[in-house]
Amino acid sequence: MKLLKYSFLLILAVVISSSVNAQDEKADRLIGIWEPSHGKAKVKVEKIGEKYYGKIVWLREPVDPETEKPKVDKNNPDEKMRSTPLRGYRILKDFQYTSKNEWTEGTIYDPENGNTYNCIIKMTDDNTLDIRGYIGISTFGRTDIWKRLKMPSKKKK
Amino acid sequence: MKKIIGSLAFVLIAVLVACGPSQEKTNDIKLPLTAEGPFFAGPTSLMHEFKPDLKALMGDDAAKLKELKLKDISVNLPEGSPYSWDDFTSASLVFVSDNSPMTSVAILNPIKSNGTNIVLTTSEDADLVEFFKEEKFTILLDLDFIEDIYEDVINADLTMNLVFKY
Repeated sequence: MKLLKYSFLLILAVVISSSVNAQDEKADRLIGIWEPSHGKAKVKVEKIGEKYYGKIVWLREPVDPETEKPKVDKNNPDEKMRSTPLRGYRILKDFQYTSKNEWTEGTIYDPENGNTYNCIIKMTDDNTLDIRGYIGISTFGRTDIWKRLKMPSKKKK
Repeated sequence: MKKIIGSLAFVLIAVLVACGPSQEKTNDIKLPLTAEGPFFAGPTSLMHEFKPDLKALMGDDAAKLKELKLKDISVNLPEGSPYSWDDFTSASLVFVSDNSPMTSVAILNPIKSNGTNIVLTTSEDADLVEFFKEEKFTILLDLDFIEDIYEDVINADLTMNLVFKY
């Protein structure tokens, strides 16, 4: 009887563990480098703790024509933080995987106006994201389509 | 009527003043930051997982904490490091946790250093109370590397001067 009980507990532990791993794998599909539709930047999504963050790793125009120096976050509402470089800036913050290919509870920052919006990320296929930014209710917002940046495959010699 | 409105305004101001923080304590926290290489040109994060102990920092006043701000932040590279501050263009400090929104707390761009030490400009807006009430949170120092550095590990020492208002 004891053996049967332990076997059941072991099977239950394995089932729970594999279900958690599968959920983690689904959530981690967001990790990678993504390109917004405007093509002005590339954003690398990484996981810190249990949440996902996306930082700018490439800018089509990295230099500010006014200052002739690398672009900084000149519209930051906090004046003291306006010298933060845009390259490396985390514009996607605090996303958590819920289910149904969605990451929620996060925000997206628009460096062009210094505004932060609530945001929902939906993965429509492995290489496409619908990024919906909104204020208040998600119905009143704007969706942008981001594409995963694919690394060129190495040719065999 | 004017008298009543004046009295009400006085009472309201008195209540607001009484509710606001009235006392403060400062405390220095020193932490090691680390990242594993190799490091490629561009931004990379040095990290420390911090477990705050408000009781140890504030004693019996921990429960009364209302506001927590950073006053000064400095970062030192260990003596004899094969790299120096000249290898980086900027440094920014960010707090991350599972329960609070990511918060940028300090920046230095461009990096100016005469030796092993840099001093960052701290944010006016960032209030860190919620981070210090958590069991743990992560401190990230984002350094922008000018060139690739082929080291296994990069270390730095962070000193934060915190102001606790209660």
